[in-house]
Amino acid sequence: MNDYLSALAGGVLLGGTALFLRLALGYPLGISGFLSKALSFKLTVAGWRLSFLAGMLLAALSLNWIYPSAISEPLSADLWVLGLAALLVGGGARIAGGCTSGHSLCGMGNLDLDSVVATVIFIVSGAVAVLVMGGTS
Amino acid sequence: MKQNVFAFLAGVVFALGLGVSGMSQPSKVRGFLDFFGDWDITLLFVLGPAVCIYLLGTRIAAWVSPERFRVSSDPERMGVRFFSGCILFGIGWGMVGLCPGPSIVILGQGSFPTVLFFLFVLLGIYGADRVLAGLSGEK
Repeated sequence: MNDYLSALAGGVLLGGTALFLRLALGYPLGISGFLSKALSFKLTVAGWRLSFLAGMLLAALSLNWIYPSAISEPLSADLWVLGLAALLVGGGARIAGGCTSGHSLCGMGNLDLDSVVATVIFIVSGAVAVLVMGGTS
Repeated sequence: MKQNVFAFLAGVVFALGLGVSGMSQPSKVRGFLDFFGDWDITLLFVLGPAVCIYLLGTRIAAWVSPERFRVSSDPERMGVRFFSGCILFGIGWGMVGLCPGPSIVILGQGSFPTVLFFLFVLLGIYGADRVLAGLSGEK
């Protein structure tokens, strides 16, 4: 599929799902928040978020058959880079009060100023990280 | 029960969206962030329609049925904590090209590095939650 078309299709799925969750369950969709609640290890706290995460995992596994190129890129960075980046992404999202889904999708879709600011900082500091690591080419 | 079914289906479609969109291909994400170099704007076509659909949908719902759907927000206080969190997140995102959602989706490839990455995302979330709870004097 054309890259722009698949991006567009993905965006429609993501926006549509976030809207559905907001209207059907009354909550904004935020993956780092869901994971945080899951890590409370309390069923009463995690609730339906566990079902959401289970659905994601099932879809992740099935992508291997239906659209393998979407997820097959190997993570080639050194293990310490992977570990450090993952800690920053997980910890940073909690400290910032949300990640790409909570801030950049639902927060911006709610016209929250803090989420617009968060998204700009995500992208600018991400760009600096890419630059410092020598670009992508 | 109904909540769990809805949430499960939403999780399935959301993960498919993260796959189809290109958000789970680290090189694509890093290409999007490489605007000092070889900038790849494709991911703007993910964010744009996604935000528009959410914005229009929630506003229309609130307009059609104000008693059931209210637009509300719970913004973060934009202080030192908030800004440092955003910067840390952005650096991690740029380093590898994966944010929390795609770190789940890419688990589908079943490789050791993806499992390691996801476990460290969880560790980061857990650690930050503990520190934040300590700072605010809870537990």
